[in-house]
Amino acid sequence: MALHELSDEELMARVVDGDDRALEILYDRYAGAALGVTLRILQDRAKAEEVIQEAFWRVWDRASSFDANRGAFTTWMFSITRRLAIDALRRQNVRPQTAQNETEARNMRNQPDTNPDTMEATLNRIEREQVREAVRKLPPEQYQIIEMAYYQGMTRQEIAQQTKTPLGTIHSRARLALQKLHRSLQAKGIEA
Amino acid sequence: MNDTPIKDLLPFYALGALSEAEKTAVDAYLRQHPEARAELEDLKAAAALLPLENEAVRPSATVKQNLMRRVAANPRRHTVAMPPQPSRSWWRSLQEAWRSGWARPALTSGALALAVLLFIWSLALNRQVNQLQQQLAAASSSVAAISDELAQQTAETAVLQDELALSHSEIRRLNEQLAAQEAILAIYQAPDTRRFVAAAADSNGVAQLTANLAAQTAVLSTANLDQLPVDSVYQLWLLNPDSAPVSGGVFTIDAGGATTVLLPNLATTDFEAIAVSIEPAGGSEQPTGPIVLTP
Repeated sequence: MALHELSDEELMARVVDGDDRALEILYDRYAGAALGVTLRILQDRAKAEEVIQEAFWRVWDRASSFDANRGAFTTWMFSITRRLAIDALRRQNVRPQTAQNETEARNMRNQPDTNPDTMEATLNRIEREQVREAVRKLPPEQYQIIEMAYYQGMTRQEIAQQTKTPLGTIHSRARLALQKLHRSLQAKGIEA
Repeated sequence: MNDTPIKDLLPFYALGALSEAEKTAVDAYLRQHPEARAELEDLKAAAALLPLENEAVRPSATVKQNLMRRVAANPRRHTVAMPPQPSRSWWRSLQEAWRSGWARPALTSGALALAVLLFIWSLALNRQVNQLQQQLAAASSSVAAISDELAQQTAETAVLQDELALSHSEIRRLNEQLAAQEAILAIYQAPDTRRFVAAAADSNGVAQLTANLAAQTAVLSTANLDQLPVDSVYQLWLLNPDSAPVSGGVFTIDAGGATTVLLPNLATTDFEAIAVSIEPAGGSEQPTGPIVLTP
């Protein structure tokens, strides 16, 4: 079986053995998706690219710590990526801003990852759109909690303070949002 | 966090939005309430799909180049540890004893006892590992808090240093002002000062030069002078009937038409009167503009 036909978990086993071609294939598959997440968090192309480079370095350096029995490779990789992005955001000590100017916003939007070996090929486009649709259907006050916790790295207390909402309400909205997402996507047969 | 039921933290655990201390508390809760693990898995499954709502963006080619260069410079070393081979003699003896059958009961019960002991030992080790993990998490949290505080104090120190520098600068400026005022006062109070006055013919404009001729210093005071265009300036002249006027310097006035200027080094002490003219910015060698104040 050709290397690019292997599953993520099979490729990670090769990465553990020191096969850098396996890492390269994982990078080609998911770097675009990872950059989409880090751009959302950092709103800065250069910093977002630094983060994904570090994230995939850690995939290589800490490959032995990946356990396929505990979850999918993408879950592990995105967890590393998001954590690095939130750390970088906190070092900046600013909250995400909108793009500095229209040119930067256009640049961020108009460079889709069309490499046929990437996640866009791996994941069905319809599946991706279904995730977006499920997210769009969340009540705004519930999605706001997801946005602030996941993409802005805010703590529960910070979210409560900024939204002037009791902490208990923040907890229940977060739970309802994730439960609703899970039910919606599970009904469509979509899994991480 | 003490007022928050641990169960309420599960969604934020799934979102990766808890502190290390909170994560440790949730991990401990899950060990005691395995029924909560199923709910957490559902929440984590939903959170794991959040990256898919973002459009994938192609990274710059340099990102991959830099990554692979770093990977090439740091190859992974995968070594397979071969289990130690038992020595042939005792292993062969064991095989023979097993085949012959006489040692099977002893070997079986021995193996069972060993398995039980190993199980008990692993439980104890597991408990120890959990305790150490909790201690490590608490220590990490403390280190992070101390680092944050140190960073804050460093920032505050930098601000205080800037304020101190500003204060020093302000002190220097005030000292210079004080020195000038003291010099002016000394001239006014000197016993052998001479006063020279020039006034305007058609207004209340006036200038007074108080000079300590022995020290070649003077103070010029003016009042009620008109404001000038930006390219013009008032100039003081020291007058002697037997020679051409000597410049005493150029000066500017405040919004009220007044000024007090220390002249620390008069160009000449051989003068009998003063006058003031309007000259181009920078002054002139000799009066060229209108003489507005005369003796």
